[in-house]
Amino acid sequence: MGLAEQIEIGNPTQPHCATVLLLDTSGSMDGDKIARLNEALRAFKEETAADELARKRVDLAVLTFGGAVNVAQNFCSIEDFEPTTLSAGGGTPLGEAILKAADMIDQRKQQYKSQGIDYYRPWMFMITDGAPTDMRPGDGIWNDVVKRVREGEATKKFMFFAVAVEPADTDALSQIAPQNRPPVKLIGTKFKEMFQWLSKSQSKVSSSKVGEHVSIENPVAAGWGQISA
Amino acid sequence: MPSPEPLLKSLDALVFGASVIGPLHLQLNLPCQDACAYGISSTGSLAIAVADGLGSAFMSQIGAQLAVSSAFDPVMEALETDKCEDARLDEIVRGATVSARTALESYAKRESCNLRDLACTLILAVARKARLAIAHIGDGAVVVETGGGLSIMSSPGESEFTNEVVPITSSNWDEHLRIVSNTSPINSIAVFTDGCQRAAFRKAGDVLKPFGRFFNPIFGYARGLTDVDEGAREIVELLKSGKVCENSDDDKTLVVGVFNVG
Repeated sequence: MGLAEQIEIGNPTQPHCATVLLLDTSGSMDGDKIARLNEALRAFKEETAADELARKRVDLAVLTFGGAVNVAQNFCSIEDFEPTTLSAGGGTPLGEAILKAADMIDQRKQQYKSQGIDYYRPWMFMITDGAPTDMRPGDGIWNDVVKRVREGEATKKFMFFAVAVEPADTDALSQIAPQNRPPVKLIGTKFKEMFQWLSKSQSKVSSSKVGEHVSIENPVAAGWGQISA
Repeated sequence: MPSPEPLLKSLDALVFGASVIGPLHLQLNLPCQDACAYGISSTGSLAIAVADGLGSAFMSQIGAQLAVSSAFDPVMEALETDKCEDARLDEIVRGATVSARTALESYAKRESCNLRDLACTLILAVARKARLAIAHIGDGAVVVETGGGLSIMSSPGESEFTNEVVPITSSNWDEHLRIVSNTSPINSIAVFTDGCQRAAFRKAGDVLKPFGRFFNPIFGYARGLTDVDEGAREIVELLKSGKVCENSDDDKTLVVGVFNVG
C-alpha cells in the first residue's frame, strides 16, 4: 500500500458546519441537571467523532451562561473538543449569550470566506432551564436579541434551536425562537438522548451537499422532546 | 566545480524527498517553483534545504534552485570538517542563508534582473541525533518526532492566512529570518513547503499542531526503507496523489530524514 493510501489530511478543505452550543450553567442547573449535561457532552463528543464526515466537518464552539457569559470552547474540530466539567452558579444572562453566539458565527464565517472554506448553515443550539435575567420583554437587549435571532433565521445566516429544561420560561423562549422552530421541551433530564439526536443530525448535515435541504428528525419522534404548548 | 553527490544513507540514518509541480502550475504551464537538496555528511549529520519560489515572481524557480544550492553546499562543506561542533550549528545555518542571499544578489546583478523576480522562501535544517539547527525565512515548516511525539520545530510564521510571505529577496529579510536550535534527541524530521501544510497540520483554534495520521505513516515508512531512491519516488507519488492535491494545487516539497535505522 502506497503512502498516499496510508496518510490522512490534517486540515482538509472540507465544508464546515459551525455549531455553537449555548449552555445554561446558572444556579438552577446545579445538581442532577448539570451532572447529566456534563455526561451527555462527553458522549456527544465520542459519538460525533466516530462519524467520519462529522469528524472532519463539525466546527464546534461552546458558550456557557451562568452568572457571566463564558467561551468554554472556541471553534475547534470535534477531535480537539475537550469537554470540561461545567459547574452551575449565578444568573441567566441569556440575551448576552445569544448576541455573543451570533457574533462568533459571523466572525467564523468571515474566516471561512478568507480561507476559501465552504460551509453549511451554522447551528445555534441553546439549552436553558430558566428565564433570562439580563433582559425583559420589550427592553433594548430583548429587542436586539429577538431581531438578531429572527433575522438570522429568516436570512439563513444560522439555524436557532432552543431547548427548554424544566422549569424554563417557555413563554419567553417562544417569543425569542423563530416561529418556524419553536422551543422544544426536554422530557425529564434526557440530555443524553438529546445530544445523541444532535450528533446524528450533525452527521446528517455533514453528509449533505452545501446548500442542500436537510430534513432533521423530529425531537418528539426521537423521544427526548415535547413541543411546548 | 559541481559539488559531489551527497550521501543519502549512513549506517544509521537516511534522507529522501522530492519537489513536485502542483496541478495549478501544470494547468497554467508554469514551471515547478519549489526546489530541494538533502544529504548526510560523512560525520553523520543530516542537511536539508527547501525553497518555494513565490508565484508572483516570474523567475522564482531559478531563485528557489539557486537559494537551495547556495545554502546547501556550504553547509555540507562545513559539516565535513572537524570544526563543526554542535554549538556552531546555528552559526553555520545562518551563514549559509547569508550565502544564499548573496548568490541571489549576484545572479540578479549578472543577469540584470530585479532581485524580487527571484523571490523565494528558504528553510535550511541541520540535524544530528542530539542537535538541530534551522534557519527559516517565509512559510513552510519543520516537524520533528522525538521520544515525546511530534512537534513543530519551525512554524510557517506570521504569514499563515495571508499571502504576505516575506521572501529571502526582501530588503528586510534578516529581520524575518528565524533561527531555531534544539538539543533534544530526534528520531525523525520532515521539512516541507506550504503546499503540504494543509495535509501536515491540524488547526485547534488558531494553533497549528502536527497531524499524526499524516506524519506517522511517513516516518514509519522511512524507518523500514532500504532504498532511498524508492523513497523519493514514493514521495513523488504521495505529493502527486489526488488526496494531497485536492487540498492544495500548489507545488509541493517534502523531505524526510530518520535516525537510528538499521
